[in-house]
Amino acid sequence: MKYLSPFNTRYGISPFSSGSFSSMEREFEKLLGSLPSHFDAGGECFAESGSKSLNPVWYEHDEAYVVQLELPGAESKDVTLEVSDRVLNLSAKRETQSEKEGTEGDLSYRQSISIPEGIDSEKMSAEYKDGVLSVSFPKTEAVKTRRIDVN
Amino acid sequence: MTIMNVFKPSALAANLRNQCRAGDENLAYVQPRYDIADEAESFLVSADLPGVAKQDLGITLHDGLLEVIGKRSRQIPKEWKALGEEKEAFAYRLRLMVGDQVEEKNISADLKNGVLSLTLPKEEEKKPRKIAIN
Repeated sequence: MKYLSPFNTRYGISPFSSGSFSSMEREFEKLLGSLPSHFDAGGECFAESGSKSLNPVWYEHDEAYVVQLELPGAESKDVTLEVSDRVLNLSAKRETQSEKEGTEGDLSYRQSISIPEGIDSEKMSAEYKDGVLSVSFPKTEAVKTRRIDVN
Repeated sequence: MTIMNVFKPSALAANLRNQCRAGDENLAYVQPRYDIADEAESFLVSADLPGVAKQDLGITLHDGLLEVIGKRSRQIPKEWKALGEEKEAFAYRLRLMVGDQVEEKNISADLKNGVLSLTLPKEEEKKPRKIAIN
C-alpha cells in the first residue's frame, strides 16, 4: 500500500501506510532529512533548508546594507518589522494550507536583527518576493563610500 | 556491497557529491522542507521553496517519480557585495514516488510566496466511501 512516499525513503514501511505509525515515520524523515544522508544513494548532498533558520544573508553596496531572509508562506501584509534601539524585530505569520492540527511550530517567524552602525533608520525599506524578504538599511551621508577624483 | 557502504559513509558521501554535481549548471541540490497531508479527495503536498520564481521551477512526473526542481536565484545587482559567506547557487529538489492511488493526469500545482502546493487527486475508486445500510 505504497501510494505517495519520499523517493529516498529508508524504511521498509511507507510513511503513509498506517495511522499512528505514519506521523512518527514522518518525524524521522524530517529529522534525518536535515542531515546529509550518507546511507542511501537517492539522498541529497546538502539539506540546510531543513532547519527553521531564516538563513539571513547580508549584502553591502554604496548606498545601503541589505539583508535577505527566507519567510516562505508568509503574506507581505502579515510581516511586521519594528525598530527599537538598534534592533530590528521581525515577526511574520505563516499561512497553513491544510486545516489539520498539530502544525503550530510552523505558524510564525520571529527574528531580531542588529541594525548596523551609520544607518538612517528613518529611510529603511523592505520588499517581499517569492518568500524572501529584503530589508534595506540606507547609509547616512557620513558613512557612504565617496569616490574622489584624481586630477 | 550495500552493507559495506553503510560502514563507509565517507567514501559513499564523496561518491554522492559527484553524482549531485553532475546535473545542469553544476548546481548542488537541497531537499526542501515539505509536508504531505492526506485529505479525503486528494493528497496535498507543500514544499518551502523560498527565492524560487515560477520560471525557475520545473515539475516532472515520469514512471511514477514526481520530481520538483526549483532553482534558487538571488538576482543580486553586480555592485552588491556579500558580507560574510554567500551561499553558492543551488536548486531545491524534491522527489516523491506516486503510486496507483493518484490520478496522475489531474495533478495541479501552485506557487505562492515561496511555497509550492501540489494537489494530487485520488483515484475515484480509492476514495473513502460511505456505504448505505438498508
